[in-house]
Amino acid sequence: MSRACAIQDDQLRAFAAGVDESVIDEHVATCDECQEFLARLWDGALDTDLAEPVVKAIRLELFLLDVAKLFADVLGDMGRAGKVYLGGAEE
Amino acid sequence: MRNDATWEVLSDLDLARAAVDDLGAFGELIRRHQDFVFGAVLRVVKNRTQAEDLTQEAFMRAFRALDGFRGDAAVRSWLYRIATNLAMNSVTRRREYPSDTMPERPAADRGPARSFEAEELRAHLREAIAELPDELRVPLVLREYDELSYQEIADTTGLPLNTVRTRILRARRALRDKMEAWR
Repeated sequence: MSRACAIQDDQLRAFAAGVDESVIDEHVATCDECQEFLARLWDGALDTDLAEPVVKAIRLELFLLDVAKLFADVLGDMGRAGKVYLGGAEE
Repeated sequence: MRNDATWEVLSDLDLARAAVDDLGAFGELIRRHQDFVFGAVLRVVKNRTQAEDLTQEAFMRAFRALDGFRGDAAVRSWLYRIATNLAMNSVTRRREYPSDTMPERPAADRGPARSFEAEELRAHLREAIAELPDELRVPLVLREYDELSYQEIADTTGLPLNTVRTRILRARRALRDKMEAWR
Protein backbone atom coordinates (compact mmCIF):
# COMPACT_ATOMS: atom_id res chain seq x y z
CA MET A 1 0.00 0.00 0.00
CA SER A 2 1.40 3.42 -0.89
CA ARG A 3 1.12 6.28 1.53
CA ALA A 4 1.90 9.93 1.06
CA CYS A 5 4.43 9.68 3.90
CA ALA A 6 6.35 6.91 2.07
CA ILE A 7 6.50 4.68 5.15
CA GLN A 8 6.30 1.08 3.93
CA ASP A 9 3.93 -1.62 5.20
CA ASP A 10 6.89 -3.77 6.27
CA GLN A 11 8.24 -0.91 8.39
CA LEU A 12 4.88 -0.53 10.07
CA ARG A 13 4.59 -4.28 10.67
CA ALA A 14 8.07 -4.29 12.24
CA PHE A 15 7.08 -1.27 14.32
CA ALA A 16 3.88 -2.99 15.46
CA ALA A 17 5.88 -6.06 16.46
CA GLY A 18 8.17 -3.87 18.57
CA VAL A 19 11.21 -4.39 16.33
CA ASP A 20 11.46 -0.88 14.94
CA GLU A 21 11.26 1.05 18.18
CA SER A 22 12.26 4.62 17.64
CA VAL A 23 12.55 5.48 13.98
CA ILE A 24 8.91 6.09 13.20
CA ASP A 25 7.25 6.42 16.61
CA GLU A 26 7.03 10.22 16.42
CA HIS A 27 5.82 9.98 12.86
CA VAL A 28 3.09 7.45 13.68
CA ALA A 29 1.86 9.70 16.49
CA THR A 30 0.71 12.27 13.95
CA CYS A 31 0.17 10.34 10.69
CA ASP A 32 -3.47 9.40 10.04
CA GLU A 33 -2.58 7.01 7.25
CA CYS A 34 -0.07 5.05 9.31
CA GLN A 35 -2.49 4.94 12.22
CA GLU A 36 -5.18 3.64 9.89
CA PHE A 37 -2.86 0.82 8.79
CA LEU A 38 -1.99 -0.03 12.40
CA ALA A 39 -5.65 0.14 13.43
CA ARG A 40 -6.45 -2.52 10.80
CA LEU A 41 -3.42 -4.57 11.87
CA TRP A 42 -4.44 -4.45 15.53
CA ASP A 43 -8.16 -4.91 14.89
CA GLY A 44 -9.37 -7.69 17.23
CA ALA A 45 -6.10 -7.68 19.23
CA LEU A 46 -8.03 -7.16 22.44
CA ASP A 47 -10.34 -10.08 23.20
CA THR A 48 -12.48 -8.23 25.76
CA ASP A 49 -14.62 -5.08 25.84
CA LEU A 50 -13.07 -2.47 28.14
CA ALA A 51 -15.84 0.11 27.70
CA GLU A 52 -17.94 -1.16 30.60
CA PRO A 53 -15.19 -1.47 33.27
CA VAL A 54 -13.68 1.88 32.30
CA VAL A 55 -17.03 3.69 32.33
CA LYS A 56 -17.80 2.11 35.74
CA ALA A 57 -14.44 3.27 37.12
CA ILE A 58 -15.05 6.79 35.79
CA ARG A 59 -18.54 6.83 37.37
CA LEU A 60 -17.00 5.88 40.70
CA GLU A 61 -14.33 8.58 40.36
CA LEU A 62 -16.95 11.23 39.53
CA PHE A 63 -19.09 10.07 42.44
CA LEU A 64 -16.16 10.34 44.87
CA LEU A 65 -15.35 13.82 43.58
CA ASP A 66 -18.98 14.86 44.07
CA VAL A 67 -18.95 13.45 47.60
CA ALA A 68 -15.71 15.30 48.38
CA LYS A 69 -17.21 18.56 47.04
CA LEU A 70 -20.41 18.02 49.01
CA PHE A 71 -18.40 17.26 52.13
CA ALA A 72 -16.39 20.46 51.64
CA ASP A 73 -19.62 22.46 51.16
CA VAL A 74 -21.15 20.98 54.31
CA LEU A 75 -18.00 21.79 56.31
CA GLY A 76 -18.08 25.32 54.94
CA ASP A 77 -21.75 25.73 55.90
CA MET A 78 -21.05 24.35 59.39
CA GLY A 79 -18.17 26.76 59.80
CA ARG A 80 -20.30 29.72 58.72
CA ALA A 81 -23.20 28.59 60.97
CA GLY A 82 -20.79 28.20 63.89
CA LYS A 83 -19.47 31.74 63.39
CA VAL A 84 -23.01 33.16 63.28
CA TYR A 85 -24.01 31.16 66.37
CA LEU A 86 -20.93 32.18 68.36
CA GLY A 87 -21.30 35.79 67.23
CA GLY A 88 -24.91 35.74 68.48
CA ALA A 89 -23.93 34.11 71.78
CA GLU A 90 -21.36 36.80 72.48
CA GLU A 91 -23.88 39.64 72.05
CA MET B 1 -28.75 9.60 27.70
CA ARG B 2 -28.74 8.52 24.07
CA ASN B 3 -28.50 4.84 23.13
CA ASP B 4 -25.45 3.12 21.63
CA ALA B 5 -26.89 3.12 18.10
CA THR B 6 -27.05 6.92 18.12
CA TRP B 7 -23.44 7.24 19.23
CA GLU B 8 -22.23 4.96 16.44
CA VAL B 9 -23.07 7.50 13.73
CA LEU B 10 -21.12 10.34 15.34
CA SER B 11 -17.56 11.28 14.35
CA ASP B 12 -14.74 10.82 16.88
CA LEU B 13 -14.60 14.55 17.51
CA ASP B 14 -18.35 14.81 18.14
CA LEU B 15 -18.14 11.82 20.46
CA ALA B 16 -15.26 13.42 22.38
CA ARG B 17 -17.30 16.61 22.78
CA ALA B 18 -20.42 14.71 23.83
CA ALA B 19 -18.43 12.56 26.26
CA VAL B 20 -17.80 15.56 28.53
CA ASP B 21 -21.47 15.34 29.57
CA ASP B 22 -22.43 11.79 28.65
CA LEU B 23 -20.48 8.67 29.55
CA GLY B 24 -22.39 6.72 26.86
CA ALA B 25 -20.46 8.69 24.24
CA PHE B 26 -17.17 7.94 25.97
CA GLY B 27 -18.08 4.23 26.05
CA GLU B 28 -18.52 4.32 22.26
CA LEU B 29 -15.16 6.09 21.90
CA ILE B 30 -13.54 3.30 23.93
CA ARG B 31 -15.19 0.57 21.83
CA ARG B 32 -14.05 2.30 18.66
CA HIS B 33 -10.38 2.64 19.65
CA GLN B 34 -9.68 0.02 22.31
CA ASP B 35 -7.98 -2.43 19.93
CA PHE B 36 -5.77 0.33 18.54
CA VAL B 37 -4.83 1.66 21.98
CA PHE B 38 -4.22 -1.88 23.26
CA GLY B 39 -1.98 -2.62 20.25
CA ALA B 40 0.00 0.56 20.80
CA VAL B 41 0.52 -0.25 24.49
CA LEU B 42 1.29 -3.94 23.90
CA ARG B 43 3.98 -2.95 21.38
CA VAL B 44 5.81 -1.16 24.19
CA VAL B 45 5.18 -3.30 27.29
CA LYS B 46 5.06 -6.72 25.55
CA ASN B 47 2.77 -8.24 28.17
CA ARG B 48 -0.95 -8.71 27.46
CA THR B 49 -2.21 -8.46 31.05
CA GLN B 50 -0.23 -5.33 31.74
CA ALA B 51 -1.22 -3.90 28.37
CA GLU B 52 -4.89 -4.42 29.20
CA ASP B 53 -4.51 -2.60 32.54
CA LEU B 54 -2.62 0.25 30.91
CA THR B 55 -5.22 0.51 28.14
CA GLN B 56 -7.92 1.02 30.78
CA GLU B 57 -5.72 3.59 32.53
CA ALA B 58 -5.08 5.37 29.23
CA PHE B 59 -8.83 5.79 28.67
CA MET B 60 -9.27 7.01 32.27
CA ARG B 61 -6.60 9.64 31.65
CA ALA B 62 -8.19 10.60 28.37
CA PHE B 63 -11.50 11.13 30.14
CA ARG B 64 -9.88 13.32 32.82
CA ALA B 65 -8.28 15.41 30.07
CA LEU B 66 -11.41 15.66 27.88
CA ASP B 67 -12.15 19.21 29.02
CA GLY B 68 -8.85 20.36 27.61
CA PHE B 69 -9.10 18.47 24.30
CA ARG B 70 -9.76 21.03 21.59
CA GLY B 71 -9.72 18.74 18.59
CA ASP B 72 -6.56 20.21 17.04
CA ALA B 73 -5.26 16.65 16.67
CA ALA B 74 -7.35 13.64 15.64
CA VAL B 75 -8.88 11.76 18.58
CA ARG B 76 -6.95 8.63 17.62
CA SER B 77 -3.63 10.54 17.58
CA TRP B 78 -4.47 12.04 20.96
CA LEU B 79 -5.25 8.60 22.41
CA TYR B 80 -2.08 7.19 20.85
CA ARG B 81 0.07 9.80 22.62
CA ILE B 82 -1.60 9.24 25.96
CA ALA B 83 -1.28 5.46 25.65
CA THR B 84 2.33 5.35 24.49
CA ASN B 85 3.46 7.89 27.11
CA LEU B 86 1.78 5.79 29.78
CA ALA B 87 3.32 2.57 28.45
CA MET B 88 6.81 4.05 28.23
CA ASN B 89 6.59 5.47 31.74
CA SER B 90 5.48 2.07 32.99
CA VAL B 91 8.46 0.36 31.33
CA THR B 92 10.83 2.97 32.77
CA ARG B 93 9.39 2.53 36.26
CA ARG B 94 9.71 -1.25 36.01
CA ARG B 95 13.38 -0.84 35.06
CA GLU B 96 13.96 1.48 38.01
CA TYR B 97 11.99 -0.60 40.50
CA PRO B 98 11.77 -4.25 39.43
CA SER B 99 9.04 -6.20 41.31
CA ASP B 100 9.61 -6.67 45.07
CA THR B 101 12.11 -3.82 45.23
CA MET B 102 9.70 -0.90 45.48
CA PRO B 103 11.03 1.33 48.29
CA GLU B 104 8.99 1.24 51.48
CA ARG B 105 8.55 4.05 53.96
CA PRO B 106 10.49 3.72 57.22
CA ALA B 107 8.50 2.01 60.00
CA ALA B 108 8.65 5.18 62.13
CA ASP B 109 6.35 6.85 59.61
CA ARG B 110 3.62 4.28 60.03
CA GLY B 111 2.53 4.50 63.68
CA PRO B 112 -1.25 4.78 64.40
CA ALA B 113 -1.13 8.50 65.24
CA ARG B 114 0.95 9.31 62.19
CA SER B 115 -1.32 7.14 60.11
CA PHE B 116 -4.44 8.98 61.37
CA GLU B 117 -2.83 12.36 60.73
CA ALA B 118 -1.76 11.30 57.30
CA GLU B 119 -5.25 10.01 56.50
CA GLU B 120 -6.82 13.26 57.72
CA LEU B 121 -4.34 15.27 55.69
CA ARG B 122 -5.06 13.18 52.59
CA ALA B 123 -8.81 13.68 53.06
CA HIS B 124 -8.38 17.46 53.27
CA LEU B 125 -6.06 17.44 50.32
CA ARG B 126 -8.63 15.49 48.27
CA GLU B 127 -11.30 18.06 49.18
CA ALA B 128 -9.01 20.94 48.35
CA ILE B 129 -8.19 19.40 44.96
CA ALA B 130 -11.87 18.77 44.24
CA GLU B 131 -12.59 22.46 44.92
CA LEU B 132 -10.08 23.68 42.36
CA PRO B 133 -11.52 24.92 39.06
CA ASP B 134 -11.22 22.38 36.22
CA GLU B 135 -8.57 24.42 34.39
CA LEU B 136 -6.24 24.05 37.38
CA ARG B 137 -7.39 20.66 38.69
CA VAL B 138 -6.94 18.72 35.44
CA PRO B 139 -3.24 19.60 34.85
CA LEU B 140 -2.46 19.18 38.56
CA VAL B 141 -4.06 15.73 38.76
CA LEU B 142 -2.30 14.63 35.58
CA ARG B 143 1.00 15.80 37.10
CA GLU B 144 0.69 14.63 40.71
CA TYR B 145 -1.67 11.66 40.41
CA ASP B 146 -0.84 10.32 36.95
CA GLU B 147 2.81 11.43 37.15
CA LEU B 148 2.88 12.82 33.60
CA SER B 149 5.65 15.18 32.52
CA TYR B 150 4.77 18.76 31.60
CA GLN B 151 5.21 17.89 27.93
CA GLU B 152 2.92 14.85 28.26
CA ILE B 153 0.29 17.01 29.93
CA ALA B 154 0.58 19.52 27.10
CA ASP B 155 0.14 16.68 24.57
CA THR B 156 -2.78 15.22 26.50
CA THR B 157 -4.70 18.42 27.08
CA GLY B 158 -3.72 20.31 23.93
CA LEU B 159 -2.54 23.25 26.06
CA PRO B 160 0.74 25.09 25.32
CA LEU B 161 3.63 23.91 27.51
CA ASN B 162 3.98 27.28 29.27
CA THR B 163 0.26 27.33 30.07
CA VAL B 164 0.61 23.88 31.64
CA ARG B 165 3.50 25.08 33.81
CA THR B 166 1.61 28.22 34.85
CA ARG B 167 -1.59 26.36 35.69
CA ILE B 168 0.20 23.73 37.75
CA LEU B 169 2.04 26.49 39.62
CA ARG B 170 -1.26 28.31 40.25
CA ALA B 171 -2.92 25.06 41.33
CA ARG B 172 -0.11 24.32 43.81
CA ARG B 173 -0.32 27.84 45.24
CA ALA B 174 -4.10 27.56 45.58
CA LEU B 175 -3.70 24.19 47.29
CA ARG B 176 -1.03 25.52 49.63
CA ASP B 177 -3.31 28.42 50.62
CA LYS B 178 -6.22 26.07 51.24
CA MET B 179 -4.09 23.69 53.30
CA GLU B 180 -2.60 26.55 55.35
CA ALA B 181 -6.11 27.82 56.06
CA TRP B 182 -7.06 24.32 57.23
CA ARG B 183 -4.03 24.04 59.57
